[in-house]
Amino acid sequence: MDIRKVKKLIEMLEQSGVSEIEIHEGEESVRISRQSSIAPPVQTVVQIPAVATEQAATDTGQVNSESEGHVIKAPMVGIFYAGPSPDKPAFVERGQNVMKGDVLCIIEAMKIMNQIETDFSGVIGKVMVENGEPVEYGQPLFSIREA
Amino acid sequence: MKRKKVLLHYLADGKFYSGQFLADTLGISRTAIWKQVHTLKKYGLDIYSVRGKGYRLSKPIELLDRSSIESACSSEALGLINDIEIMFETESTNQQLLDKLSTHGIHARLILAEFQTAGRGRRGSRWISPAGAGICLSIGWCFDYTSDSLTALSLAVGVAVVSALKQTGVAGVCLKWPNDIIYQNRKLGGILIESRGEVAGPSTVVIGIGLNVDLPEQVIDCIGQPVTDLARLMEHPPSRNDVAGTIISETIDMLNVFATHGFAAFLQQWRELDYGRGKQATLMLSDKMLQGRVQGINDNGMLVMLIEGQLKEFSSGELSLRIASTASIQP
Repeated sequence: MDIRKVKKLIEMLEQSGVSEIEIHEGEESVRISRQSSIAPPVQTVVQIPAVATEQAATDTGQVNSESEGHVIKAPMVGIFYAGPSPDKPAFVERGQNVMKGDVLCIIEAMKIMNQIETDFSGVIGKVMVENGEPVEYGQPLFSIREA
Repeated sequence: MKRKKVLLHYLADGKFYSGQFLADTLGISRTAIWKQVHTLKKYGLDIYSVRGKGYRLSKPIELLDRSSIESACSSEALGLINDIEIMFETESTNQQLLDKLSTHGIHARLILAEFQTAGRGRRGSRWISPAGAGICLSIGWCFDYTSDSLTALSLAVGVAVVSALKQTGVAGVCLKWPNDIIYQNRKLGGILIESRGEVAGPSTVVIGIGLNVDLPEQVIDCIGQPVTDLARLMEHPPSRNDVAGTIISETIDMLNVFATHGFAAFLQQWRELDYGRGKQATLMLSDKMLQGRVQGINDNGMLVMLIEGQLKEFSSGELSLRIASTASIQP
């Protein structure tokens, strides 16, 4: 691979928020990572640690492809709340009938309490997240069977 | 309800009104007046009575007034507002708007209340707002896009409130992530946004803004964190209606800009108002407590903290700053 191309890639990576990039070109491949231990060229600045996003443990094992029906996924990163406030019961429970537009849960992100509505009518099959648990974008929250 | 409102309109000027005069004016007995006064006291109003003179408030209060509020709004903002409703009392102005959602559109609808009986903070915590002592305001707004792109709206509202305060002469107000309104580590106001929408559909938000204007001493003492109000910050605080109107105006202008440009338009302003930056802090998450130094916010408005030598980003959590250790901040 052309060394100028590699240099260009490094520059691009430095200017972006991306921490690692891997390029395959025919038989050759190159991986450039910001988290590598390469010392900065001039030792006057303290190396800034790479930004690590606080990640929730997404248990992908929960999403099996058996006929769970409709799966409601987290539309954003945040904290999952099953009920409107800590002293109130959950919005929905397993086996409960829900109509399109009913509130299923709250996801809190940056102090915005997002009440998540269902876009599907049916019966709640599974509640896949515990109250107060952090959720990732796209993480399955509920499964809803057709009534 | 009406009677309490009329009664308060008389007492608001802080002068003495005899029980007989009030009874005659309201067309009820003196005992009934006594009962109404008793209820108003329960709302947090400091009313006392002197035999032979009558009832009076310990100091005058400025009641909410629509025309004064509107005259503090820019014509652009007024043009965008569909309705301003002023209530004497309600459980919570946010709840009031959310309840309307099932039957009405609430875009650009505003509710202010003299008194909230069940004002809400985050996750069931109470927002204490005695009658006439603060500003309780909720604004409904509909966005065409999904809720995940709205998360930093929470921070942009804070920018709008601080800039409104600055315009009315209240200087030195900062923001603590994501949107606590802070004056010298004391809470002057708070913002609670509630949104509703389908996973992939447009979303409606209700923005609740609470600001402390003139809290009674006993209320200050019973709130579990350091708080302050406009009356304690300034010898001549601005008019309550002026502040309410300016906050409305700034917030509506902000929403209008946010709808097209997003948080990018407010990022720099937020950073200039960041109270936490460089301070040691504890971040309380649902399952753990983390300690570190606040670095600021990223371009999406997420909190960035340096924890055990690593930079980490957060979109939720309660941040409490340790002010004593600010002296040790690196340059």
